[in-house]
Amino acid sequence: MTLIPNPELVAGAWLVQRVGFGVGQVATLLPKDVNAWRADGFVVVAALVGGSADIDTPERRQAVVQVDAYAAPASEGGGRPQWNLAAQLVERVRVATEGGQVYGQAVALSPLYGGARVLSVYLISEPRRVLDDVASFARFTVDLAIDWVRE
Amino acid sequence: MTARIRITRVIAADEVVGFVEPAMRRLLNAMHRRAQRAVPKRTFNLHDTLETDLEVDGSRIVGTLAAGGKTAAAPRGAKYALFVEQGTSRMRAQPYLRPALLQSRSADLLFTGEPDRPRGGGS
Repeated sequence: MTLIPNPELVAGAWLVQRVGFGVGQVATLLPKDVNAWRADGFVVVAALVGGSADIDTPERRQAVVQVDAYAAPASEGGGRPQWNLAAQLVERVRVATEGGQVYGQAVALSPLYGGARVLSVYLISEPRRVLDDVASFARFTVDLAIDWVRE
Repeated sequence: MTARIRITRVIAADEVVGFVEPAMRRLLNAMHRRAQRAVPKRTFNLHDTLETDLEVDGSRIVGTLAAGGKTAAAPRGAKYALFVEQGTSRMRAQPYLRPALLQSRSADLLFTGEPDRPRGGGS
């Protein structure tokens, strides 16, 4: 049986296939092995924070997801968090939402899932710097609205 | 650290403020109740810190939905309010304030309910 996509999976697939992050660079949780993503940073589809359902077009899903961009200190021993790396990651998301080429793009999920088509993607907040992280990671967070349908 | 959502409405004419203020109060009550439904409730402490405030300053109305501050039912407050809302690198986000706002509907302006009462379960 083909599984049904959900907003977090679609957002993750869009970040990989349309923004250009690596397959191992996006997930719904931050990996515990920091060394695996220390060089490039990591993007987390952290939570579904909102959205709405349309009674007239129930196929169209309008979701808002929280996207976090993390960067660890450059060396394992500590050091300053790489704020610019985290900022670059979140700005790449922003740039990918600009221009008409983002509309109506198909994204492929894992083979277990049916496909999805992303109708539009846009930021509904400016990227915010998140301080006081317990692990001293640099982190920017942004709320991303994503309209999509199942294929 | 208190987490807040603030809604500011500037009215063109001061005499209209009296009509807008009750609607803003109803919207805040609706958001307050939605946040109460969504907030994690292991001890109800964070639930009991949810509160709303409405300020009128001339033609400006500011409504606030806040979490984490000290209240009668949660006298120690909840410094972790923002961590629950946004998550941390070690803890998954469990949003409760933004969903309360983003699910707002025009019908909220007619909302007649009140927020749920505090449970007093927190320490």
